[in-house]
Amino acid sequence: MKTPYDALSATRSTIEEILAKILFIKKESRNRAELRELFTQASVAFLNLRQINRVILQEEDHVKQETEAAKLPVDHTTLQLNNLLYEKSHYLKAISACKDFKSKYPDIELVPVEEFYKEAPDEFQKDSTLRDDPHKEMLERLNFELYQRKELCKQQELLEARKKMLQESIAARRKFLSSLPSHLKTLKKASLPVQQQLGILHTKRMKQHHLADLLPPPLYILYTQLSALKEAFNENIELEIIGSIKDAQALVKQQALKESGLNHGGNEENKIEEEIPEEEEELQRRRKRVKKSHAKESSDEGVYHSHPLTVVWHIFDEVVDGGKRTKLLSVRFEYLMRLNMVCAGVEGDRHGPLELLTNLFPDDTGMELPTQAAKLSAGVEFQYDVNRSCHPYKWAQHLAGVDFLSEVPPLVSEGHGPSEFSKATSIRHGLSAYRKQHRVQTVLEKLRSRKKAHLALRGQLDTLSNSKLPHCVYIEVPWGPYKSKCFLHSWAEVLRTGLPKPPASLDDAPSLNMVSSSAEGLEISPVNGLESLREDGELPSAAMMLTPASKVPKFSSLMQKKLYSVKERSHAKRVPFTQAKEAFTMLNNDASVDFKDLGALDDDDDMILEFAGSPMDNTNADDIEESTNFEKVSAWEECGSRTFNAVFRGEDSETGKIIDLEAQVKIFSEHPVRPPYFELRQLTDEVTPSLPSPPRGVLTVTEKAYDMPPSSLLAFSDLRAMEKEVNSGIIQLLPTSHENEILAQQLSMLAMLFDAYVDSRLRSCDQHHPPLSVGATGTTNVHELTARSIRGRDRQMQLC
Amino acid sequence: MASKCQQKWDVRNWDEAAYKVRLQADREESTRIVYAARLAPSSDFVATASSNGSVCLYSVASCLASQSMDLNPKTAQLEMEPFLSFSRHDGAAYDLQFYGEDDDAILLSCGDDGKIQGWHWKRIEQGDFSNYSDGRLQKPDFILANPQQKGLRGALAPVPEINAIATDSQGYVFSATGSGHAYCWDLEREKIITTFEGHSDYLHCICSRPSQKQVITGSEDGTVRIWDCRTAETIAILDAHKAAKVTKSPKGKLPWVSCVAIDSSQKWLVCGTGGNCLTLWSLLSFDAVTRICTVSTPQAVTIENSKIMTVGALPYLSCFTYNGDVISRIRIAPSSALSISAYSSGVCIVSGYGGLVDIISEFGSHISTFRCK
Repeated sequence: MKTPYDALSATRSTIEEILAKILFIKKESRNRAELRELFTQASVAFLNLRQINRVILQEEDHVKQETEAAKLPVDHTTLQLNNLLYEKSHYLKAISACKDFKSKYPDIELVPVEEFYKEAPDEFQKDSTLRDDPHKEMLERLNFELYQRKELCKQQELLEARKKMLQESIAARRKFLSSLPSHLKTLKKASLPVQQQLGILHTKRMKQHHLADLLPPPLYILYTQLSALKEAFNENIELEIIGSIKDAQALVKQQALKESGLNHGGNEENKIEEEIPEEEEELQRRRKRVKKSHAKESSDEGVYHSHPLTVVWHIFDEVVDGGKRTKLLSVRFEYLMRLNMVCAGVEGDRHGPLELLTNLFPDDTGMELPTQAAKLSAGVEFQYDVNRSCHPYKWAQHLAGVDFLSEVPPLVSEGHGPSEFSKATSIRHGLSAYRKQHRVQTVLEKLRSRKKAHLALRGQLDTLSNSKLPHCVYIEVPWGPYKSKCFLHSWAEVLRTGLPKPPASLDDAPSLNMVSSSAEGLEISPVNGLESLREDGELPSAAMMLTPASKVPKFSSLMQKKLYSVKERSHAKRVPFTQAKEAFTMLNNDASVDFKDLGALDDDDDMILEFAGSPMDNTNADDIEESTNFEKVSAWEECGSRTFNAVFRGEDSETGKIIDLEAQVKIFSEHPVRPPYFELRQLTDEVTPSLPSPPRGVLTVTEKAYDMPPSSLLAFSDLRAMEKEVNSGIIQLLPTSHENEILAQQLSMLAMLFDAYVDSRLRSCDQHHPPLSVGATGTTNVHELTARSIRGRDRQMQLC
Repeated sequence: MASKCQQKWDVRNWDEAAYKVRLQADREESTRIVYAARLAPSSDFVATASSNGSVCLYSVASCLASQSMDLNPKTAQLEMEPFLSFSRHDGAAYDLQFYGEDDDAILLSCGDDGKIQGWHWKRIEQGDFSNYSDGRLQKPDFILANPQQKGLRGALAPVPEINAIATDSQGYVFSATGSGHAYCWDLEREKIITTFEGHSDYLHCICSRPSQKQVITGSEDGTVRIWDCRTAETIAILDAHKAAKVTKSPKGKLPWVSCVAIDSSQKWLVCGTGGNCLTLWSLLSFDAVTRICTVSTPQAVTIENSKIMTVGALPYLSCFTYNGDVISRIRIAPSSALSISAYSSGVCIVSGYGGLVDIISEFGSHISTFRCK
């Protein structure tokens, strides 16, 4: 069948053909007749065309209707499909959820299967089905587990109860324990009298050790080393820590706060407070006086702020005779916190701590701050207060180990950081060096020998103040058995102002004459004076009578003054250098002002020397000046030294004339290691080798250009030779075991030398004294027979 | 020793014995006496003989260099290390002389041990100190030992000391000894060729008078004797005390003659005695001319440029004319001087107690003052 479309296209092509024919005819304009034909054909074609078009549209409508009808059932089916798909996915989800569900049982630590079969009741073991069915098996296992666990829970409860019970009992016992210390304390208290009685000072020592923990490191080292010495060598020393414990604890607290924050500090505080035993309070009450004096000292200046605790070192004599120990001295050590140095002083001896401890080792006066750091922190112009009882000696620093502790801050905490560790090692090294150097032993030995020397010296000085020569125990020396012809005429201490104490009898010595010119600033010792007079067996008036009146005008008043001023000036020179030292023993300020003024008056040495016409005076001045120079160069040696003025009087047995020898004896603080230093001078010149005038006319004799000095019997070189013997020659002759009596030995040696020299010189000038020539011939012969007594350029005596 | 001195003395490693030794040494040093100080021929050095027996050379140049501006002799005492130390005498070294000229010069020292030690100056100058290099002191080139006198029953007396030496240009050295004898030594043969015997006590000083072949000695017995070198006989005995020529030693004891000196014309003799005076004699007639009182016992005297210069037991150097008039009195450093040597340049060196050496210029100023170490 022909489809409408084919018909349509055929029709269209027919139309197109007709139209093309028409067009062709029109163009050719030929046969119009054909045209008509053609028009009808075309109109028929067009009618066909319309008909076909209508058929097509009708067909289309028909198809549309058919499609519409088919669409409905298709839609319904699609919906159904979707529903089913959804349902399916839901089920799948549910299945997977179920599949994902976890049971608890795999997590439970079950007893292993083997064990289960071993331990479970028999019923399970026999049930063979169990083994085949793992599920059942598991269930049974779980049941068994549950059972077991329940049992254990019961057990736990039981134990808990037991524990509680025990804790209760512990608490009860602890309660008892905490109350025990007080019981013990009462017991201890009760035991104290017994301890006292038996001489076991256990409690005290414990207390001290407790206190030691509060000491600053330097004092702690000092304390531990000293106590170690005591324990190890059984040395006769005692140690004591005194001071306010509370203050010390407060200080520790402060330090702790600073170092490790508040919390830690708080803890420590509590701990420490707990540790304060009640009895300490009592102890503190006892120490109240000490504390008060401390407070006074520490409050006056920040630099002198010292640690509240001090260590006192009691030193006893080495020899224990009959169990009784003689106490030699107590040294107190205190710690100046700001300057980080340790000061030492003699306990209970406010007058002469310097003398005893000064220059215990060379160049250690205790006047200067020992370390550079201390000097810096104290400031440039800082001068250590000489009136303090304790001084920063170098040996005290060494004893306290300040030299190796210096980098460590005070109160090292017990930390374990690397820095602490290195500190600890440095301290350990320091301590081992410390022990190797035997510092403690050395200081102890030195202190003992120093104190003994002091006691010996005091004894000698006491004897001397009675104008007696002290007795020498050791007589294995040349002068040991010698009985001296001369005697000690006077002995007086020269005070620091340069003026001697008034001696027993007035003498014509210029230095003694000076006394009269300024007697105000003097400390007078009339007792000694009177006693010495009695020893001489002379009355004061008689003594004055004995001194020849003719001698007095020899030293004119002007000269006295000049000489006085020379002496004063030489001391005034020293003032700026050693003002501190001067002030120490200065009795009153007036005296010092006086001589400073005097010193200011005279500046030119030579002027004074020329004015003081007599050359004799010049020698005196020179001597003084020399000593001044000496002092300038080495002032530390002078620190704490004392000067005495001794006058020996010898008598010429034949004429009864008197020869006086003045000795300035300087006793150093290092006595007897540095033996006393003697400076000699002859005072009276009654026996002088005078020249008879030469024959007149033969010779022109020049006039004396100057006032002739009273040429002395003992020449300059004689005095110097005697000085040399006494000052240095003696050291080799005297064994160290007897060095404490060196002053006595020196004096008796001097007495012998004086006798020997006077004898020799008298003999040598006897021959040209006509009154003596009768007796002299005899001596001359003897002289020739015996060995030569003098020798050498400076006519030195030959001493055997 | 030097290391010991620098050692720090404190409680660490304390050595008390060493400290005592040091103190002793310090004390002994402060009492040292320089018995003689003389300028060496080359003038660069001062040679000293001191009481510890040491003979030392000090360099003048370094002295001057380190001299402080403070010219006060009492304060300006610098301590000098010796440039060179020679071997020590046992006991004090009392005198020191240079013998000969320039290159042939010999340094002679004498001392309490009765020995004269001699060193060739040339060797010293050339620095030929083979012995010195290994730390020991240099040994002398020769030693002349004093003979000992026989005493009672043939026993030997103690060795007498030599208190002074003098030289003359003919190879002779004279020594004044403690036995009262003076000796003339021949240096080449190192032997005593003449013994001058006659003094009744020991000799303090000696000086030679080469022009007349004479030697002059001063003794503790208070006389000055003038001897003929060739015959060893006494030409004259001068009693210094009575200021007169005597024929024999006076009886009794007189103040000792501590020093003698003659002037360059060798016509004048001056001697100092223990009685605080100097006596000037004319050597032509052996007459005392002037007696000069001194402020102290004269211990050394010299005549230079018609000036009598003397030092004694006081720290003054006094100059007098032949008439006894005082020319000057200069303060010197040592409080007692035992030696004076004056030189034609006007410089004079005094030395004495305290180990002090003072070099003084023509005009009395102190060129250099030092303390021997």
